[in-house]
Amino acid sequence: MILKPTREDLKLIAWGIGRVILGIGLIMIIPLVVALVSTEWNTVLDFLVGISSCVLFWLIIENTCYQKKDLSWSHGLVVASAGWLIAMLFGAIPHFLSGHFKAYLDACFDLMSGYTTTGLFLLQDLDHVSHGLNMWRHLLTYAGGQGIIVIALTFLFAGSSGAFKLYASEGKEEKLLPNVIRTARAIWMISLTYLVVGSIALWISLSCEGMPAGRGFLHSIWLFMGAWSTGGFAPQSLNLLYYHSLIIELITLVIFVIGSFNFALHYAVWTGKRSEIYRNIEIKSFVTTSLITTVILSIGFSKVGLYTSLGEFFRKGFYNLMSGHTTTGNQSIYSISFQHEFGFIAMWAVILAMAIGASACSTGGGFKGLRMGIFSKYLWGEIKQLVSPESSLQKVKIHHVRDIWLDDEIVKGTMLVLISYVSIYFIGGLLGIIYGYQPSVAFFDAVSAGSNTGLSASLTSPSMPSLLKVYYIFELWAGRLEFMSVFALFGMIIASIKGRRTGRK
Amino acid sequence: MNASRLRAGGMLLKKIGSYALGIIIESTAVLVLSGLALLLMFLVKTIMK
Repeated sequence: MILKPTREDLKLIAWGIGRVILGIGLIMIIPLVVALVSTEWNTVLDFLVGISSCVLFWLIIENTCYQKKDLSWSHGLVVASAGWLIAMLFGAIPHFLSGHFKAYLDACFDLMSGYTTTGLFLLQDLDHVSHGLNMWRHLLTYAGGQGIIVIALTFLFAGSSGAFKLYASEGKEEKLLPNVIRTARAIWMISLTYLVVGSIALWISLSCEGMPAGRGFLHSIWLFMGAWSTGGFAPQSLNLLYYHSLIIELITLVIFVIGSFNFALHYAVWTGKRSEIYRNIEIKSFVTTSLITTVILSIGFSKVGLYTSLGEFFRKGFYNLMSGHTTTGNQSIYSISFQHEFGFIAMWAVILAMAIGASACSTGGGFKGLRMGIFSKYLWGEIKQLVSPESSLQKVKIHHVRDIWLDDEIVKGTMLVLISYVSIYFIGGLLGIIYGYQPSVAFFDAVSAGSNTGLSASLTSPSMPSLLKVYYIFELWAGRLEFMSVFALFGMIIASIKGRRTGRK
Repeated sequence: MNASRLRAGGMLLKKIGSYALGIIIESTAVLVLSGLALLLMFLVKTIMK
């Protein structure tokens, strides 16, 4: 029997969402300041409208829906999933007002792509976007990488015992520290430390390449934010190709691979558990799949014969492969090159890498290394069981910060998420084929959206069909939240329609 | 007072050192992976010639 949510349930959910939207409004202050300093008055006005809308929404919700009750699991799940959707609608206001979008749907697409650290975009004339809007694009992907719920937890939910439910609902189940608020702050501490180190390295390199200091400073911050959050946004439409620099490619490669690591792994390595870097199952899984896909890509390149030197293999092949594997989306080639220069084998090597994706509890997307590790260990355990005497019992253990024995519950959860990812990839690819795109191109962009990668084989553009845009927004959102929160939201909607009011007289 | 300040300063330095070492270890790991990949690409390229 499904129970209909009560008015109190709905008010509690709305209250949680109100806090998340307030968080979005507060983050908009940073691009507003950048626009003010750059004397971009139209952009200033766009952000003032955006901030006012967020604050107004929060004020209305806070005054009408405030509840003394704490959030339950189902509330947390629905706040996370619905919160991301509503945050998209509010965050898209400055985007749309900038005049760089054909429609509000396109602005929403870019917002969801930013929050989910994907990096696909429908923005037109990127090379002439204001500093304020560019800061907003990169900031929202940086903030989205840590999780907008993590932001809200860090600043706006202090002391709430429902905090962990919200935190876990955003696809992050691991607590770095016993207290979830301290965990959220530790995530920010790691990200901000890398922001300083990575931006300085990029700034020095851009200066050596001849970029003026002021412009180089902004580019270094934006490039860092795009790479670290595995978002892949860059301030120029040519992405990394614009810089034509091996050192910039190397630094961003290091940043986005580290950015794709699990926050629990960062914390362990930083606080003394150095051996985690080679013992952790996610690292083992990532290294294995990286090397396998590298071999496939190299075979593809050798067969096509367009890239001949080892340097081209590395800069055009490995860089973009790793960008796909870490679900970043930074590109050192033209989008069209995937289709016309990579060839079938190398293109599918990138699709496979994107589908697998990065680490759990990181800024990345895809199946995640942890699930690949669990799946392969479980499969190996089953094979061993088959060839062992009937009386023996093969137990499987993985190492992820601590040793974990695999049980049916863990494997069932892993398989459910894996199947969900494969389903959204497949439906997206099929939709693209129905609209007349080549199968490789349709699957490339569908997997890129579902795994929150952002590489594009030139399908994603303002002229793509609206239904495909809406489906990709769904893919971005569901893939980032790892489905559970999305299932909970659908469950709540069904319960609101079909549920019974029992035991509440 | 001075002793406790010194101890706190020492703890902070130790923490910063530990974090810096963490960053170096993680960056080195990525460079090692890139080196391995480069080697593999060279091998495949040579075999496929």
